[in-house]
Amino acid sequence: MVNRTDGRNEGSLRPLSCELSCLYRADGSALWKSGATHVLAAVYGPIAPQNMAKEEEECIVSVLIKSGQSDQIISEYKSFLTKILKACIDTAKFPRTVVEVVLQGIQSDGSVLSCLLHAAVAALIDAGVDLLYLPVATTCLLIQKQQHQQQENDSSSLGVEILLDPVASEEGADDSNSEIVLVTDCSQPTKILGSYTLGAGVSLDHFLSCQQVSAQASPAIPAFWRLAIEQKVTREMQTLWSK
Amino acid sequence: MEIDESNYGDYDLKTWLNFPQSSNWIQSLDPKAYVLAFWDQNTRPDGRMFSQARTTKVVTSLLKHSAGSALVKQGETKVMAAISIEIGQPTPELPDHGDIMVTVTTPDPRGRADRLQSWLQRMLDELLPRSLNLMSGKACIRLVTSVMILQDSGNLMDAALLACMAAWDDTSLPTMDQLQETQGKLWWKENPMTSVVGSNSEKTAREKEYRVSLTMGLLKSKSGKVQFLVDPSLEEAKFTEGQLTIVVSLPSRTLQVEYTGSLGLDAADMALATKLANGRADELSSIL
Repeated sequence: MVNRTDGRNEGSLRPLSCELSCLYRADGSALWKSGATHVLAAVYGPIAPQNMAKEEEECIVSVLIKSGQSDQIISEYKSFLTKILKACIDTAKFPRTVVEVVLQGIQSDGSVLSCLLHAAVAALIDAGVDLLYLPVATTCLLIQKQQHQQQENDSSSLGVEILLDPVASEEGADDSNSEIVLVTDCSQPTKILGSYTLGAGVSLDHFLSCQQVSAQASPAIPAFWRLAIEQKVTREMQTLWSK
Repeated sequence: MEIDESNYGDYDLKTWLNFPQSSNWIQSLDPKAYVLAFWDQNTRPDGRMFSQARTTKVVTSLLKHSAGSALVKQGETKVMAAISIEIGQPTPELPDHGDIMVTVTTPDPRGRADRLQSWLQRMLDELLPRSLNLMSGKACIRLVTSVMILQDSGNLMDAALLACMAAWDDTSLPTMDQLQETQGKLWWKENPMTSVVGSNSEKTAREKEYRVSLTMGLLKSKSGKVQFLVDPSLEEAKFTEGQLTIVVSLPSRTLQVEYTGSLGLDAADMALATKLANGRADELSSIL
């Protein structure tokens, strides 16, 4: 058992909350909250690009991230998310168009990249953009165990602890920690579709353990998306379609 | 070259490729079909095997006014890195760490340099600062690294990181015996660019850490398995179904995995990719 600052287990996610269609101008929007990390996502599209010369055979996915974090890490997140979303959106169905995803970090308390992805996917579902699959991201923080603790704790012989969905204080605690964000398809949780590593790096065994942790934890997110959509649809039925 | 006449009525791409001049216009008319024609036969347009990287050549100490410099040629991709040293005060939060600044310049005006610059900055920031300490809390080294992309023929990440590592290897860092402190300021005892004796022993004394990366493109074979295309060239990179970069830190052999793509990777694929990356690290550690 690990003492985490918010009393969670090593393998439990923070409480989730999702509000769809919160913005009126956007085709789809979502306010995603994971613990104290809040992200607002807006999706515009598929629409014609402003410059006709930029039309391509498949839909162009453009991701814009506004956040208080450093430009360097934001440009990496942007590049990563653009590729993940481009792979999951059915781009062949919308030639010569652009899908623009605008992500605004409202509050950040760890695991920001996963929240950005989940908010983006929720907004895409809200906008009704055709998706080939739903990508789910899991953040694992690997902490080097102290030598004496390793001998006492015989349940894991890895020498590291894996914490799921870390908060900012856990992430920034030590320089030698590594953080791995894994993206999987919700229908095939054991196969990785994306990976992003921050920090000193891990061995292959630790990476594969993170893959197992991610496979166990990932079904929670699609279940939550489904819940958010059901709430939105029932609410719309009551307000828009009531007699 | 034998031409099988029974195929004349058949407009299969492979038949057309048997004609000597056809490959150039096929490549410009339908680049994807051109590349796929090679991949289907388990080879690549430049004749390499799937697990073979392009010939890599590293030349160091080219620039006289830089503390360290290196030119890397990986196939047709050419990248040069130059490191110069500044001495300053460390930040109070991290008194034992130095600083690294990376700038990437490219002749291509479309700005692919941003992503490469932030990636290289992160790779070096995670690796080097501890070795840049001079006097805890008072003095540390800042490495100003300039990376110049001379020719982009695919896989800039590997070539740029290798150039930075080779330039780092070439750099001889000043130590406290070359410096003296008077009245709260640090002074060089002798000109660091011309003094050779101290710097040679310094190079062998300090254990330097490195990072070596291997970028692979991903393909789905006919049997549904994932295949890795090591060191994709510019034409190949457009048509792969994913890109996987594994960075191996030496000597600790820890890994950093960056992957985006449409193919799912399971544990066996990761193990194979790691093996390829470690093989590349072994190959390059003889240079560094």
